[in-house]
Amino acid sequence: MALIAPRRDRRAVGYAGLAIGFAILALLRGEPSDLALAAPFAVVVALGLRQVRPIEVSGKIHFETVSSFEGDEVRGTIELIRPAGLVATMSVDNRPGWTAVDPGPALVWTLPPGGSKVVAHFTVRAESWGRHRLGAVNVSFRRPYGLTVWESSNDNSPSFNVLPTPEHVRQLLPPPASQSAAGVHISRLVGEGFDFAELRPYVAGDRLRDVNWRASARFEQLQTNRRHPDRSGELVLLLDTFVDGVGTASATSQAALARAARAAWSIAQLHLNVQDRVGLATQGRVVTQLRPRSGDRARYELLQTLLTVGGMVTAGESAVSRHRLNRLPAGALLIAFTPLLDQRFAIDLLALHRAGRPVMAVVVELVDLLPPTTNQAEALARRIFQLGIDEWREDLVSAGVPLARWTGDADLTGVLGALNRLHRTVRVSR
Amino acid sequence: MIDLDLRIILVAILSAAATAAVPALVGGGIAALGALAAILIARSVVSSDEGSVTLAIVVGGLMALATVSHGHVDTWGVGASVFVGAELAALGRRLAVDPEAPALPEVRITLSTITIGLAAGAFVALVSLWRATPPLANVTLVVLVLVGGAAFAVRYLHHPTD
Repeated sequence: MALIAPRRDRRAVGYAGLAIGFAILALLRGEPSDLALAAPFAVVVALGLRQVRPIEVSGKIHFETVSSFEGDEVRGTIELIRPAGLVATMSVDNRPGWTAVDPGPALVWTLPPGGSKVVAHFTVRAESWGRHRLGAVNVSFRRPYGLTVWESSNDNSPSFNVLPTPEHVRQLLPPPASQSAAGVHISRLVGEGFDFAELRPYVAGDRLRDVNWRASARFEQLQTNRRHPDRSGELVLLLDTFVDGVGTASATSQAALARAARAAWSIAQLHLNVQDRVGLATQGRVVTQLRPRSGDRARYELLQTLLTVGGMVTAGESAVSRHRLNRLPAGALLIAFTPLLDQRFAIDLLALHRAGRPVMAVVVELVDLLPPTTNQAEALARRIFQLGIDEWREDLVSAGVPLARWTGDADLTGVLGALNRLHRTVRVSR
Repeated sequence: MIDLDLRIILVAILSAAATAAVPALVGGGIAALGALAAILIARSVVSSDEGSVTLAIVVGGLMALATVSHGHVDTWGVGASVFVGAELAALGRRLAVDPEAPALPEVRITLSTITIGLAAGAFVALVSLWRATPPLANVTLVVLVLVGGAAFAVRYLHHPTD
């Protein structure tokens, strides 16, 4: 419940001035007829200023769903309790992360004076992943014939989560060191499992079903199959949150980050589904680290962290700082998602690679996210910008970091397949 | 600047026309002042700028003062023009806040306000022409101004606004 003090409409000052001025004129001239000039203004002022007391108002915002996917429509209501007899105009400031659908193109309502409790329904479209809030709710009340206005603004709305849309991924990346928990990755060790490892002569105690009859016939001696045990892997998703600009990130930068987050979330889900341990580290404007975990708790923590990071970057609520990435688990495969907007992230990746960490990079392409150039100067600036990205990418490739480029509409499976092949090549060449 | 739709443009034109109509009939410097007030009034609607309204009302007041020498009817007409123009401009600004809101209730309120204001002016004009003598009018005015001033002072001392 808030107490709102009134303010005068601008007409009130002008009207009161004219009413008094014409009355004085009538006095000075001794012409009663001049009072007819003052009368309309005086009447409206008298009618309009009859109520100048503060009023009590309260409101509540409610979302029908707390979580939705990018592109989904989120419905909600704003409940307002006000003194009866006041016309209310309510508007919600736009914030990044969503757009108004109904009422559109902006959330604005004019609520008639009847009844003290009013409910305004709204629908917004979730545009980018993250934890978002509606903007400040501005309410203005006035009486139908009033010259006073009661205005209030409240920027304390509840948040709603927008989840990144999972990309279509089937390819599992092979973590370099397997863990002891059972999973689907093939260990370098030999033991119980499904994937063939080697043949060896039969020894007492071998199971009959492990006997390879064809090989036994060829070698004229019983041979048994040996298999790799299935083990889970450890994976850390490294997200580049460096953005352009010093305040709010540009739309392109936000879209690139959203694209990277979608890819990261897709890969995380895939690996969590097969009991891998998945962690998250972000570097740039928002810095955070989640230790690799498996299971539903890991999934929940990962999603919450991604949403928080997305919301903070979208709202421009964080500052650039560096974090020591060498604290990441030593045996974990690091998959970096970056648009390479900032050289510092590339430097971090190179440092990890030179320290012997298994690092892969998915470079998120920005070309389709940039607005078309309108003149030669812009085209030249765009080329210089692209050359900078290309140079950093070449630095990573020449250092031996497995790297694949990804545009949002491309199949992530293909990108991960390419990374997988590169990873093997790099390991063989060592 | 606000998003202009047809009804906002229409109200801006109407308010400007209402402000400039009588001064144009009077002619001369009054017509020029009327044009200036009309521009300010229309600007307050189109740009949703409340500051222009006060300025337009002040210009309208000066215009009415300048018309005093032309006789009662012209002066009343100019005053009524300013009043109607300012009320229509207020309507336009209210409609501009929410383009989707129904216009009819606001139009009704504005027409009622204009009718009440003009009726009050016409009543005072009739009374002043018919019965009033200067001494009686002066006494009445002094009393009204004192009572009105006291009422405002009491109200604003108890509930100070901005």
